Amino acid sequence: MSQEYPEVSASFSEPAALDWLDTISESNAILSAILAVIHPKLYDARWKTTQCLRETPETCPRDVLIRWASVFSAVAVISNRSTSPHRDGSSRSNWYDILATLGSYRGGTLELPGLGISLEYGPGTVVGVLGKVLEHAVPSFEGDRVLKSTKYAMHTL
Amino acid sequence: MGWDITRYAEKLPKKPFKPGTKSSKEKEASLRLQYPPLNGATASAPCIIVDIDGIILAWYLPGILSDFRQVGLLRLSDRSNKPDVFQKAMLKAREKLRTSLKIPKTGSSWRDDIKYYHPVGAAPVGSVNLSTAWFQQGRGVSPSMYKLYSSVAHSESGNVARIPGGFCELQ
Repeated sequence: MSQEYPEVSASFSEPAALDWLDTISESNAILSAILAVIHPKLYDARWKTTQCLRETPETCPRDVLIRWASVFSAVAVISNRSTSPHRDGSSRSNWYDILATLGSYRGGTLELPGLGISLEYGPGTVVGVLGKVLEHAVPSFEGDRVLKSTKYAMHTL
Repeated sequence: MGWDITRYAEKLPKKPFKPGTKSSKEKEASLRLQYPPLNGATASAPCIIVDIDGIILAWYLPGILSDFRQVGLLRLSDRSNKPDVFQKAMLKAREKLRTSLKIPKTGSSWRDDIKYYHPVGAAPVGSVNLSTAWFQQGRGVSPSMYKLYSSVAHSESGNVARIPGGFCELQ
């Protein structure tokens, strides 16, 4: 099945998801500001896309957009899951994925196998990585809990 | 890194290798012969990783998000340290998202594989994608839309893996 135009994700059918957006909005804005520093042109492009979305209410309902304090088009929240080495196909070669890891746990590394580099990935760490080009992985972690939030820029219009 | 990320990106197929398969392992091994990784470097202090031309491959910002943004999880196991107002709000936010966090039932992607999920204590386990505008999982992009992307969004021609100008370079 193919889809003609992009549309809002089905996850917003849960009303609680909107409340969550409200509460997390300041943190969303901070991660957007990090993108503005590490890749200003991508930030500008994403901002234009956000404005474009605001002019096309048929794509995304207004109640979602007014709470979406982010220039990213998608947020993936991943809780207590390790991550196999992979590349992200929906991104572009020169776009950074912003990964933020949160929670209370010990240890944890973000592996970049193609570079032979291992980054300590403790709570509160943010990594901007070329996710389409570079393999990245989060092997098993030790500790009580980990909440990892991944944000990425998807297709822009 | 001692090599050029633009050339490296050109070696990659349009669709990522399916991880874990024999063919993907062979392709990764071949890539690493041409573009050798470092010999097990680790980092724990803020840094950037650059290629031979100074193009930034990754920004590493350890611990940049302060404790009070840690979704109220951080000190909850330590009862001597009560969550503050902001942490309580974040904890509430986490509970709101709990109903949306799901372990996908089936799927061909490794992301849906139960073996990667680690149920521990009362913490939620699962994942959720939220997007203002995207193409639903499992649905292809219609040919007319793809054409539009190719002509507008992808200003560079040829291989979509090509890295265009405007890339963040180390000054």
